[in-house]
Amino acid sequence: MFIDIIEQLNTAIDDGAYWLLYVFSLLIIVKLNDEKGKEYLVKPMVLLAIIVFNPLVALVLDKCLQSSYWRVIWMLQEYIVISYAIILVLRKYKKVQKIIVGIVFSLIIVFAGKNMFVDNYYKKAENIYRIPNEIIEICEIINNNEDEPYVATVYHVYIWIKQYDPSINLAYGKNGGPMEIRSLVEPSERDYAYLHEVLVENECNILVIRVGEVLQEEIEMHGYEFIDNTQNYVIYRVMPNM
Amino acid sequence: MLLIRTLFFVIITSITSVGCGYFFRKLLKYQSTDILNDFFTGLTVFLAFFQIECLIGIFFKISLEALTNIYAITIGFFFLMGILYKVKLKEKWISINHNSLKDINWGMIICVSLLVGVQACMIAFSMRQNSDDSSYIAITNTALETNTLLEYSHVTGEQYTNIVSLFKRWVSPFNILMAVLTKYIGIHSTVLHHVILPLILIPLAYIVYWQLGKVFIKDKKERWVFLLFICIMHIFGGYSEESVSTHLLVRIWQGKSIYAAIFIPWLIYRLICLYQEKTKYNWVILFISSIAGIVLSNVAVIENIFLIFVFALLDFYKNKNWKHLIYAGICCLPMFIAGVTMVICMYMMGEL
Repeated sequence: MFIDIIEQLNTAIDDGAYWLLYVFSLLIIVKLNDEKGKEYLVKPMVLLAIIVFNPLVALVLDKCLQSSYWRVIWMLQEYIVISYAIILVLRKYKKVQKIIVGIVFSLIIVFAGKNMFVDNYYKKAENIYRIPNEIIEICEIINNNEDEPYVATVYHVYIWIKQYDPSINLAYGKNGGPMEIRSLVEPSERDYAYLHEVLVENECNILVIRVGEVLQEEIEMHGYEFIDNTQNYVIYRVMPNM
Repeated sequence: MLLIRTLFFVIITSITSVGCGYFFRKLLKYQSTDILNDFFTGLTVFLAFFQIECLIGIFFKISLEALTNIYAITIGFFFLMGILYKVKLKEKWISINHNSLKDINWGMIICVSLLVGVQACMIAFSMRQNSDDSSYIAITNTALETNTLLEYSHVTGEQYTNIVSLFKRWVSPFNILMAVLTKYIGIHSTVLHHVILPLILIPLAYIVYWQLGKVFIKDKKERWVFLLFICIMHIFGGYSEESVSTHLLVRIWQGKSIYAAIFIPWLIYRLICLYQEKTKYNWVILFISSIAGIVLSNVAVIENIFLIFVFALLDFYKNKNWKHLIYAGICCLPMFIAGVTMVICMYMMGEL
């Protein structure tokens, strides 16, 4: 249990460089004897840290936050504390020195952190919805071919579909739907005959899978009808049992 | 058209929020000339009233359309009360402090505005994959599609039979609030989430940091430098998927991200204001803020209590005043009620 909590914190703070700066910043505020900083930042944050990092409290919090204990670090306001400590230090210097010290602190932040804008967080927008064009294409194919679509599909499709078209119902999503269909659809190698039985039983009428995962002749033998395909996905109608 | 609708929405929200904040300030006889404080107080009151109205709406199974109208009436009522107070007290509609215009540091303002603008545009004009959206935005879209409040599954589209299983959704109905806002603006909710909200919420976060900075830093020039360093920290704050910066700059349209990046600094600001002045106004706004936080995320149920408790404890150590401790306890009541409700629901669902 404790190991799990420590692992959560490790993941949340990564290499901890920002948090080392945070501790230094608290010490700087105390050292420079700034009354407001001590009263409104240092005392509350230290008391908060003592309480939330107490192992017993941590156990209860982890249970209450449903294994999201790391969220307690949101309360510690690292960017406010560090920025304020920098302001206090800058007050000690005159004009040019102030600029130089400011640049040095900026560089420390840059090297301690990770740039958000060069990571994999952002991709080029393809449309006003900020979802992949291929998903819109899939939704249009489904709507043109089925009046009341009930779709079983893979992760990279189901996380987007409802964001574009809520009228398309899914057999399962991130939080919901029968586990059995998920366990049959998610792997790239599937027992299509058994999957067909389960899909028909659950009244699913559309299956969307990646291109090249199965030969069309092979899948059509098991009760699926090819509708259309996009660059990466192929859409099948799940034919009801005769 | 999208730009006009967004601008119209921002202007209407700002005016009504300031009006509402002004009404509460005058009602509780608090002296202040801080328009930003009125603005945020107004927003907090709107959030808190949404929580109450939405919960009643969910249990009485009213339509989304009805909730949208009721909420519009609520906003209109508080705004109108603000106007009436303004007329009654014969105060100036807009008062400009000419002294504050003298010491404007344009260099810093442009620098910080550019950085904030770049952050907002980076999110609004790019695409990000976040699996949580498949739940959050889907709930909003399902509410809009079915014109109901949490009656149908956002995944399968089936009608829910057990409201208890949805306790996380109705304790924090942020996604329904988004559905209501979508109806007001009249655009696709995914566009509202992915494009419009980042352009509004990221500058809003920095306005909260500015407010918080006011507590520590009297000199405006220094406050701009303070904001500049917060900008740099957020831009280089991608050290973890769970950092506040990641929530601010990757998925600010989600309730928990707004809670982490905007609401917690606002709550700390309110707590510091209260720590400085134990006025009726500050206590009431803290109580309202407690309810408002829960709209955004279930996490507020725990974290609001901890933040209020820490400041109450420090105040008690300093002033030895039991009355303040009791008032702080009363401010935690919304979280206690929400927390107990969640525990009962978890027990009924066998999750405990």
